[in-house]
Amino acid sequence: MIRRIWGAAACIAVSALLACDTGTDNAVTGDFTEISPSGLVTGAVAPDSLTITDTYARKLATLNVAFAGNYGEQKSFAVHAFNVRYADLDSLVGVVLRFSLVKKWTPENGAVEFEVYDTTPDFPDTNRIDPADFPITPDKRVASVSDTTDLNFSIDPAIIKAWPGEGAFLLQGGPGNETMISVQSDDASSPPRLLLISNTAGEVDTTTVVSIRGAYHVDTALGDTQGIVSEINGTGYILSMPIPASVPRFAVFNKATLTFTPEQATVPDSPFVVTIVPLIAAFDQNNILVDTVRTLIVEVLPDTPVTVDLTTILNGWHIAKAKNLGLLIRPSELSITPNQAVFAPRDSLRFTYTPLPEASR
Amino acid sequence: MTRMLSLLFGAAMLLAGAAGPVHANPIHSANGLGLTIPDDAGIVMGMGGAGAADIHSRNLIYANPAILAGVKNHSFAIGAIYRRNQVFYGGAENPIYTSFDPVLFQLSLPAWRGIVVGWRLAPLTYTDSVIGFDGDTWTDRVEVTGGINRSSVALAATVFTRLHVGISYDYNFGMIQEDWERTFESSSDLQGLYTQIKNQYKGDSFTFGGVLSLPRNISIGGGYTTESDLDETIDVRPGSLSNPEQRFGSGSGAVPSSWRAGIAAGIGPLFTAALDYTTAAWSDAARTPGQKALFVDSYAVSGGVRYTPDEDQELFYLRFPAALGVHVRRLPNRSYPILEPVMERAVTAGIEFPLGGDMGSVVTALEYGLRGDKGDNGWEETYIRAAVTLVGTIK
Repeated sequence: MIRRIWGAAACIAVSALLACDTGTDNAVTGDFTEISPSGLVTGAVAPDSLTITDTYARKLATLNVAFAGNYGEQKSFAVHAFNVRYADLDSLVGVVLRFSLVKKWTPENGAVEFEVYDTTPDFPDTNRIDPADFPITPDKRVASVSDTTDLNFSIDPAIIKAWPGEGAFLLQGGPGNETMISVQSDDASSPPRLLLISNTAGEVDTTTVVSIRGAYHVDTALGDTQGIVSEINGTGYILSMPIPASVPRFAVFNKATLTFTPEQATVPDSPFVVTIVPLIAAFDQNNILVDTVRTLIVEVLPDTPVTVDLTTILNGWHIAKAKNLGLLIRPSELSITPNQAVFAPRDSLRFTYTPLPEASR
Repeated sequence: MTRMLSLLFGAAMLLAGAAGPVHANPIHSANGLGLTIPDDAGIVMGMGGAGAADIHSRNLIYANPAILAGVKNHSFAIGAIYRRNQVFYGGAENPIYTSFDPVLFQLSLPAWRGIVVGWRLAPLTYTDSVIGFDGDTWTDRVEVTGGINRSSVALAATVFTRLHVGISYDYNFGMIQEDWERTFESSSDLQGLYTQIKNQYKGDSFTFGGVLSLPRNISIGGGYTTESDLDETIDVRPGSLSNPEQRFGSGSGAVPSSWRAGIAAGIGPLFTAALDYTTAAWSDAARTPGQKALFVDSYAVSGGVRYTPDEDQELFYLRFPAALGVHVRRLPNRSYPILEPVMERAVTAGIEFPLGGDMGSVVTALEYGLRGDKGDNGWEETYIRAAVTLVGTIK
């Protein structure tokens, strides 16, 4: 009897071990547990709560290009200063001001007319120049061209001789000009230069003086409109976007979208690409810190709304402990083309989120 | 000693290999603190779980620390268990869950004049399940893992020859982790997510026990464990694993008070019979609304017979100690969503294989049981538990 019991026990043990279904991983419906998931919740942030809190403006005095001329309603002029203190001006017989053209934008059969004015070499604001600091009058107009093939302006040597060591020229479109150009600026490899031609005892010599300072100014013709994104003017803005208090602390956004509507767009040079990136430190014009990982890139086309997916950014603010310091919205390329637009949200921020599962809480 | 270390190392490797698979339990193991692990390590499992009054060096229950007084040599115990459950939900599939888990590590050190010091680490509850939920456009998959463990330091002594007493300080700790993953239909433009929730617990309790030897080779004994209030902290890692873990809040839990009483009797020179009654006040331990709905006082009635061979036994089959037993238990968790108590009925058998040279023995046990009822609970399951425990002498 005892042997039979032992035999049966041994059979059961062996059968159990042979039946080892290791690795079984069955996911079964949760009907039999008190644990339950959370559903989806949708919401929106009204446009009124999306506010432009600051303006981004890049320094235009340290660039390697400068703009001058007109495109549509845009107007731009460039100022470049020269130091002729160490040049031999006594035997000066001729002066040529030469610019190196980078690119030009002109409507079909658009007029080309550029003129140069003698102006002050003092730059009160080295970041952005103020037209008021560079007044121009007809008597200061010193040269003009009607072709961008050769941006050489002949200057009266007397003007240079009258400079107290330093002087400057202002380049802008003439009265009938319909063309915008970009030229290499003082920080470029081929900066604006003065060719000083002298004649000493019958020997003709040419001395080149390059620009020591340069900057440009743009009148975007958009006035004080909020939400301007301008490549030529190097400007953008900070969009503040609070997450509603009704969203639970540990909710995860499954989708968050915001639609931007371009208005008054000037896009002569496609693509016009705009960067949307969250700030990671309070906005400081001189030290802008952004979250490059969560950068969004969008293309702006006139009259075409752009919907951007902010899911990752909102989750970063809401659950990844990133501070919500707003979004920097600026042109991806600065000072490359005359592209610009009023590019701001006109609709609600719409979102869908999943609250924390209700498990055991 | 070298051979013993080799055995210990081998057992450790066995347990390490048993770390996977995870989430190998039925989904109802995700309720409350999880499924409780019966206190029946060692020879007790083979006897249906009865052993509160059975002074024996292979008796490894913690409900009565006085049992430790039966240990005569410095020894250790390390054990693991294989579990296989097949659940019948009434659907087309009857899923099978298996796992192989460690169940205890224990050191027993006889010190002075019959005083024995012990330390034991063992799991009290476990979850380890995978559950699926379907929404209109999404599917959730949640893995629930972890459970509560107990680290006990015990002191046992023999007083007046016939009375054995013991006390242990129990530190209860553990974590139950939920890993939620939500995916959407491919046609949806919604982003899926992963959220991790960690519920960490810690608390302590005391266990008191005694065994009194009576005439006619009869002994009675029992133990009482105080309720352990658990401090709970909840941390959340929302959204994805790359996000920082954040404190969600705190709460409380409890491992309930319990007591266990038993009687053991020698039947002739070769057999020992034992009967136990165990109960735990789980309804008092409920803290959350979910626990209050689910928890119910548990009890168990266990009985078994053990055969101890005569040293002169010549027949090979009869040289090994063996046991048979049965038990009926009411589990701490009601079923869900049908909130009815869950009953468990099982038969058990055990065999002990002594190691040569007084090194100890390998204790094995097998249990086959039925749990739940499709009519009363909405599901039922059959299960097998096969345990192996190495009890070794430290020389």
